[in-house]
Amino acid sequence: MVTVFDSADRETYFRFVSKTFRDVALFRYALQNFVINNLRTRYRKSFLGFLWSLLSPLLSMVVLAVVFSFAFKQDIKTFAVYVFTGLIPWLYINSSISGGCQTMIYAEGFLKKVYIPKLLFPLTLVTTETVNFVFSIISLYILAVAVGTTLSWTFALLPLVILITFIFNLGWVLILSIITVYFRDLTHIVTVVFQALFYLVPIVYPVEILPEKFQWLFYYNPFYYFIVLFRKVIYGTPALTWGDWLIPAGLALVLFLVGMYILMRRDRELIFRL
Amino acid sequence: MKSTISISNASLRFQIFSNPTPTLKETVVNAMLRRGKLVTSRDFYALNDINLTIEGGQRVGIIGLNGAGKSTLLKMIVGIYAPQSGRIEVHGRVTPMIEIGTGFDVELSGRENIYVNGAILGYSPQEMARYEKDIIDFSELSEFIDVPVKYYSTGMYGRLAFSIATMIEPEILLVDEIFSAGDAHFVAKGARRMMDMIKSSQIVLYVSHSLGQIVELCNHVIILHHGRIIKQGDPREMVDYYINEIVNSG
Repeated sequence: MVTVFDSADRETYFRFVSKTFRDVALFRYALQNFVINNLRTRYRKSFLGFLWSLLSPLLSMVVLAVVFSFAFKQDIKTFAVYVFTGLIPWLYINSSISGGCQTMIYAEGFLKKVYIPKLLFPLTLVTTETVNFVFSIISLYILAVAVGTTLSWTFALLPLVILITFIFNLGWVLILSIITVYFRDLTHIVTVVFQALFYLVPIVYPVEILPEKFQWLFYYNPFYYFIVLFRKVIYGTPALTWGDWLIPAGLALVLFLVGMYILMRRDRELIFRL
Repeated sequence: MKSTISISNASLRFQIFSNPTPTLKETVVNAMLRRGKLVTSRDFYALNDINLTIEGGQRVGIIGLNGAGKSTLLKMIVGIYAPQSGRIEVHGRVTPMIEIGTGFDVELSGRENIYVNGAILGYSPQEMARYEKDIIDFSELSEFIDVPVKYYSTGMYGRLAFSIATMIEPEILLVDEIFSAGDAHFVAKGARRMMDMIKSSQIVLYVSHSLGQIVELCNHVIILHHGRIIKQGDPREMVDYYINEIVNSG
């Protein structure tokens, strides 16, 4: 193993990205350990253990379903499934991004003691949230079957949706976790922004509920496209278009590449700011 | 392959910030009110024009006063800090002996922590499985190896950390003042282990304030003073020089 560092070498974007990927591959067992420990901590010492990861989203779905079906005077069964197809991906994005701001700061102990790729820490958080997301999808599936909602064959496309959303979240977390090192209060701002954004995503109501002249608001909300994609894939209607895939995939890719660019520019400096 | 480390003209600058973590709120308010600079910084050279070549088989002791740059030098070799100027070329895998607490998950057992610790250093479970038995034997923790680490005493903790770092046969081992962990018996055993490690053409860099140990363990000593290597050579001579010229004159 030969490592050469020369301050005179100019780092190119391509070289940096491929080096980072190689490093992450080298440290994949650390990633695996971090994720398992995160999940274990989350469900530790609970009587039902891992079963909680299925039960807890299921139970909160039931509570919300009851409340909202009263509030909106809708048929509880179909309305519940409708709400959750929006709520689940929203919670996945929300908890990844708001939880992700602190990842570099929390990684200080590791980053100052051993050589470990910085991307590993956003990756750990998003992977952990992805596992929870998958558990929630399983709960949703159980719920949908229980209330007799017919699911479309497009359900099988979910892994692709998860992959796109994963990259999107990772891009966000990478960007925000680096900025948070410089501005520690960013995490509070992000939390508040997400609370507001919740109402700009058609989760508890359909888009059509808003007057037409306000509907453009949705289209400027990047998160909207992910919720729509998830929902369409689950229901199968209205039919999926290329745009449904390409817009989220494009957003995800751009965010991730921008994140890697910011990481490249700050990679060496970050350690002095922690 | 023979391990080597060569560093040429490396300087590492730290910036000391008056306010290391301004908030976004402060920054925005500050910009709006057109006040002066919110964060001022001052440069500080932690390492200055370091030139160093270490060949396989060398056990290099690094001595110097507090703040001389000893730990920083190790961290630069690991790759934690990138020097603003200069070149570092390392042949061989660098393994820092992790400080007690880092990379240990206290809820997990000692055995599981062997793997966790290895993973953080970039070692696969398969690689660690090869060393597991040796690590347990050397640390003398076989009785407690399946007990969560949070029930370990500081000494036991240190023994496990030391055993992991030295049993994985690192090509280049960096030790920063961790050696004090454990009782006299373990310290003596650890010293023997360090000697053994040299035989397989490995490099050891050892930072310590205990000059006796430096003379005993190392075959080359570097004196760092204000971020510069001011002298290097025979351990005995270097330690004498260090005591007479730096410790007693300062």
